Amino acid sequence: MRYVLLPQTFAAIIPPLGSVFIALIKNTALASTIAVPELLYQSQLVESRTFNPNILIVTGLMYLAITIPGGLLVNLLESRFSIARTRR
Amino acid sequence: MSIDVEVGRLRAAPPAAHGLSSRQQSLIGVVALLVLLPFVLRMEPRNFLPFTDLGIWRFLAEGVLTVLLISAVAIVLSLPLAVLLALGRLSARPALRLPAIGFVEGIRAIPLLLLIFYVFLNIPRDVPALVSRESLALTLALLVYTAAINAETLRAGILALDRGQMEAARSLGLSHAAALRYVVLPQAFRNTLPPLLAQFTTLVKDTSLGLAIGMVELLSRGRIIYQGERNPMETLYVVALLYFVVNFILEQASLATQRGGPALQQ
Repeated sequence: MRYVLLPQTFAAIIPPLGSVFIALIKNTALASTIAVPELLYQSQLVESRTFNPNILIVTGLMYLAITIPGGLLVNLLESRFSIARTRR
Repeated sequence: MSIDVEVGRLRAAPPAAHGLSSRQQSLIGVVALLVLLPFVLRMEPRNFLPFTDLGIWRFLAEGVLTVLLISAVAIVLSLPLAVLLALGRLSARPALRLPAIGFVEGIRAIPLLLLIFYVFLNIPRDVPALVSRESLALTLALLVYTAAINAETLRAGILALDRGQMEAARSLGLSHAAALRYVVLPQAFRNTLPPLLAQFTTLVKDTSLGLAIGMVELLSRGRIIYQGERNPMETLYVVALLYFVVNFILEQASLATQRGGPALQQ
């Protein structure tokens, strides 16, 4: 289990695991509904002060700035660990 | 081809040692959890008293109806958009491919809640709409988000098909569009049905995000009830049960269509 099965399992599930983690990053935005001062909550404050909904586009770009490197990292990990799988 | 056969065998889900399929096991697990939860969280039996009133159930039933309506519209409209986006991404023309890539990746990378806010804030106030601005914004945002995610699933399904399918259809004299319509897309749909349906279940649950823009859907009705009755644990438990029932029925329906549909090709 420890040295044979689990390492292979993790190598195989890196892509779906990565997308779940990126989804988790995006779901932190839900915290704004219970008034946690995170990115979306703060940008709503700015929006309500300036009456400019396009603030949210900037917020979206900020989320992109977090999730795109995350996606690249997942791709990197995937290509790094997929060697064992392709040799089947 | 050997990989395909393996996938088919896995999907057949061999019954466990004591004769229950994994689906039945997970159903038993969920039901056991739902039965145990009131005891674990020490819910008060008398806090369930408001639910002996029929009026509250009618109030919640309207919420369920809202959820069903918005989900149905978003699901039905998201499918054609998902197909268009998937085909756009696979197109050889950059003028079609690049916007599709940008759209899909952009929508998928931002939180759904942010998308809902953005759509909501940009809907003009004086637009003559049959429905409320909130439900319009929620439906639009869910539609676009689900379409972007399902477009990726469909693209994977199309790419996973043997190239020979398209080539054989073309050599039989079908045009490119006809080959897509009658040969490639039906197979891609059938092969990606489980993840597509899973995304629709997620969509049903995500209607609860309408709470954030002030929609009176199921979760928000639950909040109205517990703020009056001061029984958040118990009310949210009942609301969770309702979401569970809706999604359970949806899943059974989708299983029925899968059984009734054409057999998986091997």
